Amino acid sequence: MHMKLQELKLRYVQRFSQIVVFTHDGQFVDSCNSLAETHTWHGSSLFDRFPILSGLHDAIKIMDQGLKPICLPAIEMALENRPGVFDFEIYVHPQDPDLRVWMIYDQTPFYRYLQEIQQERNVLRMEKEDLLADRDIDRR
Amino acid sequence: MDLTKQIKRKIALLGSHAVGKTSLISQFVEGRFPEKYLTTIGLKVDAKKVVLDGYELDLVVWDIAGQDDPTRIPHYYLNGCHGFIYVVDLSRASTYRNMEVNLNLLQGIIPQASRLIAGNKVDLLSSQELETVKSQTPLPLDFCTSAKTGENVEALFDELGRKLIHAYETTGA
Repeated sequence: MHMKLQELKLRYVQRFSQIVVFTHDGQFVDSCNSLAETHTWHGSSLFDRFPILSGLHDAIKIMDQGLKPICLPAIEMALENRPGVFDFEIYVHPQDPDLRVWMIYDQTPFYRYLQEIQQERNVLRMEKEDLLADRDIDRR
Repeated sequence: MDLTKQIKRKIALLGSHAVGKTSLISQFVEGRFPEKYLTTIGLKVDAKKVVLDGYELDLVVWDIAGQDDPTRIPHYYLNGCHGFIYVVDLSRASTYRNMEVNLNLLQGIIPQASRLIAGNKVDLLSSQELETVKSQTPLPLDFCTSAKTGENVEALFDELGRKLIHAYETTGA
């Protein structure tokens, strides 16, 4: 029973998360390939492949084991051929201080829902500003 | 022999929602203007190489979701940022009214970063309206741009590039 629950949980988690291990200077080491196939990543620098990681190059390099992970919420990008909105968490590998663990969570359905609401809110706010500006002109 | 020096720089576009940050980047990186407004929910990152004054600048451009309060931007979005463009919408006073306060806050968060102020959507204003708006902004605008027509977009990013090169040559940062 216990194993079955673990298995169910693993299957669920696999649907929206991927784990990538790389060296502190960006060289790809390993991945579980749950969201994106990474065979073309072997021998390449993730800093070259993902501009977002290169923008964090220094912070990733100097990370210490005790430090809080680097958390980046709501990143719109294509992970290989999978466009979506992802949350990133990067931390030092618990067994090797020279390695980094990059957790990728695909939160696309949640963020797309949020985007719709935000969009409506922004449009309403702009319409309200336009109305107020028109009223201002009328008064003059 | 290639004498071009290569440097990689992280830049960000900041400002209130719907001022045209994503469209400016689209125009700069891909040379196109997205007709439909679609709000950015968190962050998009693009990259573009620019050759300028003997340098090949590898620009990593962070497009950060519109935020009225810069202190609410996640810390790592701005971490290590070498420069930024603060974008306002020339047709909406609410986007430039607080620019001085916001730029002071940003100065505290990323003091080392070079900065420019861009007044976007200049295509929506007559020359007379533009002069009125310019007299109302709390700080002078460095560029008036139109992501739609492409007016001044390249000049804006080139100028930031020059500032980044200057900072690199004078401080190494």
